[in-house]
Amino acid sequence: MITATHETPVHAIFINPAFERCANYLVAMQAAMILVKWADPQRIPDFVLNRQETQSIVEKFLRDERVLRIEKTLARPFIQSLCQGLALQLTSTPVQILAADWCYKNCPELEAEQRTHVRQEIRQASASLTKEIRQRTPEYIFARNATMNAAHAAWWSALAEDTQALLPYEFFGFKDKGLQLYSKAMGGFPDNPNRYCEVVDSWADALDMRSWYKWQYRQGK
Amino acid sequence: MEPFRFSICYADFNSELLPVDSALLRSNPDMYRRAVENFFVSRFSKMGGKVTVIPCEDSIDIEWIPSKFANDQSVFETALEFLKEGSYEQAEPLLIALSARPSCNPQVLLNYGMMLSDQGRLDEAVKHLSQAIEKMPDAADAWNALGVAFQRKGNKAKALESLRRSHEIEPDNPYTLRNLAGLLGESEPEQAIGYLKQASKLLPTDQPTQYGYGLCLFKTNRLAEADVVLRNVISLAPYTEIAELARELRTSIAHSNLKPEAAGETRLDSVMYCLAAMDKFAKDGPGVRQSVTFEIAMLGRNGLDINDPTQKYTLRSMPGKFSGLQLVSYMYVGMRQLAPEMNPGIDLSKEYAAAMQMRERSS
Repeated sequence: MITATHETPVHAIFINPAFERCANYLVAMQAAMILVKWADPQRIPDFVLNRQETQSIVEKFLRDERVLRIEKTLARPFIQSLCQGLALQLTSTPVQILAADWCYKNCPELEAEQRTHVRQEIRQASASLTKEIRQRTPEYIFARNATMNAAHAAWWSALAEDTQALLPYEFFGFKDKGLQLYSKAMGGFPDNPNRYCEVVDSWADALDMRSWYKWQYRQGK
Repeated sequence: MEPFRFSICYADFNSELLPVDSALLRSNPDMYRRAVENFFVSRFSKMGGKVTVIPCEDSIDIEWIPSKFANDQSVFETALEFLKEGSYEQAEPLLIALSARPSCNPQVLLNYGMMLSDQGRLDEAVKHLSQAIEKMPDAADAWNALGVAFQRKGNKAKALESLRRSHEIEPDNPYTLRNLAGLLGESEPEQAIGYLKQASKLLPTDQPTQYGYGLCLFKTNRLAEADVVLRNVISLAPYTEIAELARELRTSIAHSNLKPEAAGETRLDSVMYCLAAMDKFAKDGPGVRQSVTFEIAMLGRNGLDINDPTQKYTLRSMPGKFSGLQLVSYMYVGMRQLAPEMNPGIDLSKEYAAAMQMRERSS
């Protein structure tokens, strides 16, 4: 999805033909994400990484014992990509939950497609709990990634009574923290246009990531 | 209603039904066992009634006493609804329960087998489809499904044998015709075309069948006929993966039609259109270039006839009437300038280069 800017004044949603089976849901979902982010067209939030802070975090993780096992030339880009991925997860998972929750409640005809797609997302996310990934990821990043994935699984588990979704997080001790994040994400949309930023901020507080980013606002016209 | 009772080995359970990574589950047997037990409890509880799951060493015994269904047929109809919407994880427990009945309806085995085949679980599919055929040996659909499963397994001889049996029983079964053609396409294309022609008449709105027919015509070099069929494929459902494949084939046809006319030489008409496009975009600026290129690309999704010189197309972003080749040339120039890394779907590189040269010389 590409959201509109001054230079390209249209939102564009692209669907990979490989996901044709869930295409209707994906279009609805992406459109809902735009509605969540653009709830106040006069104040569109952009999530901007705090370069200085993230740089110092990268330096800190480069001294992590798990990272010290990685070849030096690969360690920095590896940690940078992990940090960027975690930041992206912080900004995208809440909007994903808000938008998908809205779709589930407002587009019942898309339920089957949504079920297929969300279960696939949750299955893929659970792969990050494997031993191999844990062994080479700094605990700080691993735990935050798992907690946000647990929040997503908790949302789906509660909504669709799909209880197996949370099972791996229960086994690895992330269920309760995931439930806490999930509870912070619920409610408020679409009445509160600041809901998206509020949820991201509340998650960032809970995950000790508040200093990683700042919000910049722009007009949607 | 009589309770459903069945056992399932943990090792035989399809872990793809769970929203958990298979490798993660395999690495943790306790979690795996709990996930499987939990799966059956939650699925059957949702369907209403009482569920009892008794874990044994390598398997689990399951008893489900439904409260919301009048009989097996209504359970089967619910399973079919789930299959129709692609919710395999909801359909499969019901099909497992139904197929465990000693007096199982062969339609259950057929549908379960087809689902397994679609999921690539081919040994299980063959087993269930063979059981269905034992109970209804004259069911063309069952032989057809078995043929498909064998074909997917790579067993062409058995696939052909099953599909031919299906064809004998029901010569007008369009799906059998289509599958037979698919199997024979490489080795006996003429026979395949006959089957596909018949199937396409029987299933005029079935996009895969129509595409298969178009592809076969293309492969046997009947390009004009193929183009007509492929145009229809796109119009049936323009935004599917099959429609994209049809567009690609139409582009190849257009390309092969374009080249002989020019006998390998640069097409002067296209050069002039490219030149006009360069002038227009330079004069009107990037906004016009973007909107014209985008609009032609969208129009082109339904096919532009580049071999007909009639000026029959109009655009909202540019006044006048245009031929297909004219628009494709404009789009080519626009895409080369806007996104040179993208494939415009047609090679006008010689014409583009010639137009560039002419423009440089004139300036």
